[in-house]
Order: sequence, then structure tokens, then C-alpha cells
Amino acid sequence: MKFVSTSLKKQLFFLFLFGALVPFIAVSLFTFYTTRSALKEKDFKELYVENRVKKQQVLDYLKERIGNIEVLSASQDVRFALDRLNEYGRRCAAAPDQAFSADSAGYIAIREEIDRYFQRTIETYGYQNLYLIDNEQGRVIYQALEGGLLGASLEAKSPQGSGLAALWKKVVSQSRTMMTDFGLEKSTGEPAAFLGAPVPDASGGKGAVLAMEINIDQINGITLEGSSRNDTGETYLVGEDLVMRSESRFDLGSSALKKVVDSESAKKALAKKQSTEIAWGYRDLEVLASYSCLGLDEKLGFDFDWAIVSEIESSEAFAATNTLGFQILLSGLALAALALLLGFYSAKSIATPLVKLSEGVSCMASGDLSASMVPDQTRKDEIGILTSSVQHLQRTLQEEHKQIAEGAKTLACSISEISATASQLAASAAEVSTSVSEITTTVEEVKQTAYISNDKADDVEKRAGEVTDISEKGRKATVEAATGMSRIRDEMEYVAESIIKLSDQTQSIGEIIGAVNDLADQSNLLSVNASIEAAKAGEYGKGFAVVAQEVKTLAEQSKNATDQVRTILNDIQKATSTAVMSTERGSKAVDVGVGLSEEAGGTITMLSESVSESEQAAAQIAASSHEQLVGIDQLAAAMDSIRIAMTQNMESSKQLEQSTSNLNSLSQKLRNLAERFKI
Amino acid sequence: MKEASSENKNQVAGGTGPDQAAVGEAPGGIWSKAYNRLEQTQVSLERGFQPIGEQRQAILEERAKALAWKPEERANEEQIIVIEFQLADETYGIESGYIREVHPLTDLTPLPCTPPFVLGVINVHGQILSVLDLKRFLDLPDKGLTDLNRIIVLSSGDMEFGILADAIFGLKTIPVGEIQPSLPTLTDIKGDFLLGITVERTVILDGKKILTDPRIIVHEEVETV
Repeated sequence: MKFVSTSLKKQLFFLFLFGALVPFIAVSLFTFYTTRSALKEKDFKELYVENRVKKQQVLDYLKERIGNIEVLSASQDVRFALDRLNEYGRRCAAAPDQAFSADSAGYIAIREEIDRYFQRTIETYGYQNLYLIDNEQGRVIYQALEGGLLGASLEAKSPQGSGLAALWKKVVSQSRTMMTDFGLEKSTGEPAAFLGAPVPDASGGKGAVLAMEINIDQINGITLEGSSRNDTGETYLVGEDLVMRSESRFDLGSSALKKVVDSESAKKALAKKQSTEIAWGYRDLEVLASYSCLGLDEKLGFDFDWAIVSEIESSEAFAATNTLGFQILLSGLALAALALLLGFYSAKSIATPLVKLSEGVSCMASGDLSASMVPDQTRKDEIGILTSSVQHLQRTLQEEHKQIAEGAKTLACSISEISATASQLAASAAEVSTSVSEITTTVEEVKQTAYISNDKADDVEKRAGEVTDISEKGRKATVEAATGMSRIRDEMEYVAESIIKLSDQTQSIGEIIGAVNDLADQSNLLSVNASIEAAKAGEYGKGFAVVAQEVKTLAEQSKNATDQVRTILNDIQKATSTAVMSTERGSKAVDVGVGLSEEAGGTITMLSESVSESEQAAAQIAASSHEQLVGIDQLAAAMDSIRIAMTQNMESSKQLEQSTSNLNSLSQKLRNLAERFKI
Repeated sequence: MKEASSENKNQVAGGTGPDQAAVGEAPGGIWSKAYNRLEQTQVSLERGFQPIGEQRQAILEERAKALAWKPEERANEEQIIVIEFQLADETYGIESGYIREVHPLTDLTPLPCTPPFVLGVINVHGQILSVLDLKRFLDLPDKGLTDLNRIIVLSSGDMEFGILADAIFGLKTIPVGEIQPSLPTLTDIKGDFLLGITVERTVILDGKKILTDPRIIVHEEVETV
């Protein structure tokens, strides 16, 4: 086995051989045995059918003859003939024991009268001969064909017509249709069998027996019919004395009543058995034999019986089977040789490039990718494709290994970068996680704020309605304010007029004061002069000096007073100017105020509109705030999700770090692997 | 008159002051104050601005005190009566004996071809008098002429002319002992005109010398003649 298992070529070779031969042998054996048994069966059946057909034919033949003779015996023609013959016998026969004269003219006349009918009957049915036998003396009173028996008494000449005599006795004794077995007729030396039927005498006279000699050739015709279909098949009849009653095809003319058949089949058939089997034939040959008895005694009431045996030689019966076996063997051998050749070449054709390939691939497997493999360019089959594919694979592997080597380097660099990035990512993830926590907190706060703002928005919505009313009031108030302002303007004009009057009066007071001042000055001077005069008067003028002094004092006081009044008037003038200016400003302010109040009216109307818009806006804000609230709830949920996701992210980034280090070691391995290959 | 003016002043001050201060007050408050003031003024007017009650009493008492004051008698001491007047920013005095009268500066008619110290001539009670400006002699800054300027008419029998004074304060009795002699450093006409200076820094001019100073007379006479 080791010898085989190490070589693909041998394996393929033996595989082809086994693959070709084993099914063939199996099929051949099966076919052979099945066919043989089928052929055998067929042969057996054919033989059986042959046997039965022939048996039936023989029986039919005999039955037909019996019917025929019975019809004939009862026919008017026979009766008429018998009457004429009996009449002739009574007329011319002197003594009853005397031989029936057949030479007389009367007999010839009678004979000519009846002969035509009987002759036709013989011709028609192929009888050997036809006899009418006198019942009483057993004389043959009519013989259709020439013979020595006419007129003779059968009793007297029993040796001569032993068969006929035996028949006559049987028929006379039995008074029914009877037949004798074949026997060699001494007169002719030929086999003969007789069939006889009683012919009753209608006139109450003696009866007669109608007898017919059956021709053995007709029997032979039945048994030998169809023997040309094969070489050794035959059917023959065997009497109870184990002697043939028909001719054998191998011994024509000398076998009937001569050939002794001492075979088991004949004996079994005569013992009323029937079968089809392989047996030894009478010619000491192995034959296929089908046998049965005719059953003449039972079916036709005869006092003898025949066996019918159909045989064919085994050699011929099984010739087809043997030929088949031989042919199968021969084709098996041819096939084996072919398989041997094919197997060898196929194995060689498949295995040789494969061996080369395996060597090349072994080199590749051991890391030498530079091993040369020259593909068989002429081959277009799978082997050729495989070879070129392997070469292509080699080139691809070379390319790939180069790329892998480069890739491994790049990968190592990338992995270190990734590792750094992963670390940063992990750090970032941690930061982001913290931030997300803060954001979540913030969102929670925002949520609270949003709740508050929602309440506020509702409040604002309510307030906006109130503000609308207030703005309406404000608008009315501004109208009133405008009216008030115009009234103020009127009042201001009146004030201005009053101030002008006041100013005029102040002017008058100033003039008066000027006059008073002059008076005071003059009084002063007068007092000085008086003092001077008093001083001139000396001691006498002292009293006057006092008066003069007093006058001077009064004048000074008057002057002071007028100064004060002037100052006051100045103040009044300034105040008046201020008042005028103030009034003017007031008037302008009032004008401005009127404008402003109108503007305010417009503004408040706009404000009112704005407020109603604000009210709508506030309603929208309230709605938006509700939506915002919902949104913020969702945001909070989303932030929670993000927080969870970030936690996962952080774990993932840690895993990523771990993976990156794994990847690093992997890339190191990969580089080592790549370096192992020789390109 | 004094009370009424102060009243008015108060009224004006009271009217303006609170007006500004009462911006933040209720308008009714301001107006009621104003109406009160007006009512008081009306009352004062009806009474002719006579002080009432305590005010009147206080005024009277003050006047009584003033009248009750007696100047210190210095019998054993020689006194002169001077008239004090103002030249520029300084107070000067001239003995009343040389002064005929004082007169407001009215209708001054400048004279052509006269020295700068001759301002012009005026008509005093039908007498044409020349007006001199002492500030020219005393090297005092000229302050210009106003209605307040006065003319002091100096007279010594045969010589009469007016000198310009910025203001006249009145007569004053000054003890001669208090007059300190003029500073010896002063020479020229200043030193000639100056009689002395009082403790109250009133410069006493020598009226006699002024009246008799030939520079004034000669020139005037020559010029006028």
C-alpha cells in the first residue's frame, strides 16, 4: 500500500483500473447470470409449450379421426354400402364360412357403386386404408385399397392382420369406437394402427365394423413439424413398451417401433407425470426434456397410452448463454487492456505536471518564492490552467509579499500613530465624557429654566392682554395730554404777557428809583453844604450842623434804600428775563410737548398695535416655549443617551487601545512573517 | 423804605430760590407759597411798606441807639473840621473853612488852550467857576467823569474855583494832634499841598496853599487873561 499511496501516478493508474474493471465485472456477472437464467427459463418454456402443443395436436388428430369414423359409420352411404354388401353376401355366399368372394361380377358392381365414396374419404382424410368387416365372421367385406385381406376372415387369418383382428375383436366386444396401438403389420412390415367403429345394421341384420388404418406419417408430421427451427430439438411419442411411436429426426425411417427409449423422462411420463427438466436423453446426451402422457385411455377410452417427450440438447439450449459469457469475458479483457493503457497515460498526463507543481509549491511553501515553474503552454485543460494559475499565484504572492512587507512597515507606523491617536481618543473621550456630564447637568438646569420660562411665557401671554388694555388707556391719555398741552400753551402765552407787564412796571419803578436817587444825592450835597455853612457859623452853627448831619444820614439812607431797590429791581429784571426765557422755553417745550404728545399718541397707537402683535407673539412664544420644553425634555433624554454612548465610547476607546497594542504585536508578527519569505 | 426794599428782596429771593428748589415739590405747594407771598405783598402795599410789630420796634431801637451815641469830647484839644472826599482810591480832606459849598458836576464845559489840570468851567448858581483836577497834581490815576463826580468849591475871598472830587463823604471833626506832618520825602507840589495825614489815612490837603499856589493862579490868570 505504501508503494501506491506515495505516488499520485500509481494511485491514478490503479484507480483507473479499478474504476474500469470492478463495475464491468459486477455488471458482467450480473448480466450473465440474469441472462442465463432468463434464457434457461425461456428455453424451458419453449420446450414446455412445444410439448403441450404437440400433445394437443396429436390428441386433436386422434379425436378428429374418431369423430370422423363415427360420422362415417353412421352415414347413409356406409349403411347403404353395408346393405348392398350384406345382400350380396347373402345372395352369393353359399356357406357362411366360405370366403367372401371378391372377384365376382356382382361384388365388382357393388364395389364400383360404393367405391367412389370411400375412395374420396381416404383421400380426403389421408387414411392408409379403409375396411368394412363383417361382424359375425370377421370377414373383410370391403377394402378400399388393394390388399390381401379382402374376403378373408380375420379370425382365420389372425396372424396376417393382427392389428386389424385385435381391433375387430375390441370393437365387437365393446361395441364402440376403439383403436389399436401401432404395431408392425406383418403383411407390409410397416407400422400400422387401426381405428374402428361399429356400423349398426339398420335392417336388423348383422352389423359390421368400419376400420381405418391410420398412417404413421401423419403422426410423424405432427411430431416432426417445426424441427427445422433448431438443430437438436425433437418431439417423439413413446409407447408403454418404451418404444418410439414416432420417427426421430436423427433416425428417420428406422426409429418408429424400433428405437427403445430407456430414459427417465419417458418412464416418468408413462407414469402419468409431467415436468420440464434437464435430464439424460436416450442418446446419452444431456438434454432439456419436457414430458407428459397423452392420456389416451382416460380421454379417448383406449386401452393404451403414449408418452410425449420433447427434448433439446443442453449444448444447443445454452449455446446463447455460453456465447454471451465468452463475449463478456473477451470484452472484459479488452476493456482491461484499454483501461490499463488509458490509466497509465492519464495518470502520467495528470501526475507529471502535478509533481512538478508540487515541487514548486513545496519550494514556495518553504518560503522560496523565487523557484521557477515553467508552465506547459500547450495545455489548455485544468492542469494547464492550474500550472499557469500557480505561476500567476507565485507572481501574485511575490507582489503581495513585497506589498505585505511594505504594508507591514506602514502598518507598524500607522499602528503607532493609531496607538497615539487611541490614547488621545481615550483621553478625549474622558474629557468629552466629563463635558457631557456637565452638559447633562446644564441641560437639566436649562430644563428647569425652561419650565420657569414656560410659566413666564404663560404669564407674559396673560400680561400681554392686560398690556393691550393699558396701551389703549395710554392712547386715550395721550389724546388728553395733547389737549392739556395746548391749554398749557395758552396759559403760557398769558404768563408771558403778564411777565411783560411786570417788566414794564419794573421799568417804571426803576425810573422812580432814579428820581429818588437824584433826590438823595442832592439832599446829601445839600446836607454837606449845610454842614459847611454850619461850620462857618462856628459855635452858633453847631445845632444846624447836627441837623445837617441828620439830613446827610437820611440822604445816605435814602440812597442806600434806592440802591437796594435798584439791586432788587435788577434782580427782578433778571428774574423777569429768566421767567421770560423760562416761559419761552416752556412755550417751546409745550410746543415740543404737543408734538411729542401727538408723537406719543402715534407711538402709543403703534405701541398698541405692537402690543397686540406682542400678545400674538407672546402666545406664539408660549406655544414655542411648550414645544421648547418638549424639545428640552428630548434633549435631556438625548444627552442622557449621549452620556451613556460616551461612557461606552470611553470603554470602546480603552478597548481600542488594547486592540491597538494587540495590533502592534500582530504587525510585528506580520513583519517577521514577511521577512521570512525570499522574493 | 429800607424795610420795604429788603422785603422786596426777600420776596424776590424767596420767589426765585424756592422756585428752583421746589421743582420736585408738588405744584400745589409752590403755587400756594406764591399766593401767600402775593398776599403778603398786597398787605405791605396797602400799609405803605410800614414795618409792623417787632420789626418796627427793632428799627426804632436801633435808631435810638444811634442817636444816643455821643462823640468823645476833647475840649482841651484843638480841632479842625474837614470835608472828606475821594480822589481815585484815596481819601482826602480839606479844611471846611476854605470851602464855600459842594456842587454836583453838571454841565461841565471844557476850555480850550488850558493846562491839563483845568477840566473846564461850570455854572454854579449863575457864577462861572473853573474846575481843576487835583489828581493831575497828585499823580493819581484818572478815573473819568461820571454823574457821581462832585465839585468842591474852594473860596478864600479873592480866589474861588472848584476841584473835582470822585465822591464826597461829608464833614468830619479831626483833632489837630492826630494829624501827622507830611512826609519829608515828598517834595514838589505834592509836598506843598499836603498838610498831613490822619490815623485813618485821610490825607489832609492844605486848602490855603492850594488856593494861593501861584502855579494855579498864575497859569490860570495868564491863560484866562
